[in-house]
Amino acid sequence: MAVPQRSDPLAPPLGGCRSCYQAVYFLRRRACQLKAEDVVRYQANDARVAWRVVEGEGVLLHAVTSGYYGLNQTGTLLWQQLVARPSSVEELATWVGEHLTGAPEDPAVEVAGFIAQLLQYDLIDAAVPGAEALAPGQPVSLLQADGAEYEPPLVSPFGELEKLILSGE
Amino acid sequence: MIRSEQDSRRRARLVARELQLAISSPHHTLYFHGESMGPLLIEGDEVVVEPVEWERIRPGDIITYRYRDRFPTRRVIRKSDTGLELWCDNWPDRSFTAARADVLGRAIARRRDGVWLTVRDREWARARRTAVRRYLQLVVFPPLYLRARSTAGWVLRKLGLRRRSAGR
Repeated sequence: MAVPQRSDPLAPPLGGCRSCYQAVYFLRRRACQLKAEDVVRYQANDARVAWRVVEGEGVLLHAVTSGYYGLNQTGTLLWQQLVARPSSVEELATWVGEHLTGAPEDPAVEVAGFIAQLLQYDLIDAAVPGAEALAPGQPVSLLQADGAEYEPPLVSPFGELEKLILSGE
Repeated sequence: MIRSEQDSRRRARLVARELQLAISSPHHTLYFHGESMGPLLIEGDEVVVEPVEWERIRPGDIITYRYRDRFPTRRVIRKSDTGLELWCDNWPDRSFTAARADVLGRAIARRRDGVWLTVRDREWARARRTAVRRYLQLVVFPPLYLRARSTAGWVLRKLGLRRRSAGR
């Protein structure tokens, strides 16, 4: 993956891990390469991912790899947005800025890093063009999350599950 | 409330295991361990469990429920508003209870040596009938039979149709 020069206007601010930094840069460059009407939107990988929210935190299970993942609260809210409808990084960042308290000025960087993580673990797909139906400027506000505290959205990989044993002893 | 990472991980694992159960299918089977449900389910059988609505659970169904971090799979013998009474086909002298909130699904198929048997097959239905009949014979009928016999004896004696037997 390309490493940005400091002078590159697309280079994300320093901080965070190297792979997230590079992923954000990659997504930004990719977004610039695309036409305005070809904004990439992402959607939850319904066919392969089962999920549940317990006490505000999401747990995701990949049905094929048996890998399971934890989401923090902001990550869970973003995940629910991705389940509800295909969303772009910018739309998710706008939603975060409008609904969560304490969000940074440019949440797109952290949201893009979160999206990159979800892509890496095959938990989301790029949506088919035309599947999205958001009007320009329409906020993605399907959830009653107003006032929730912002924290950088995060996916925590916990490992892989072995085959489930039904106890009949 | 601040949870340690270990707690979060343990809880996530338990939730993920329940999700594993929820998505079980012929492509994602579950492993049956133990001999308590033989001969229908024995050690090593691959089992499919489907989520089930409470209203659709019937005596004779094989139910998987949550018990601590395990997933016992047993046959329903009685249903109440709050939970289920269960037993194992091979252990008729022991019964178990499961709260309504802990019920996770119903076993609908098993694969053994590459051969599928589903809840619609005769063998499954026969095992179900046998288990229910055995429960009735062992648990329900004996007290009913004894009570009916003593009541009938009392009525016959009152009517003078039968004398109390002496010396027995």
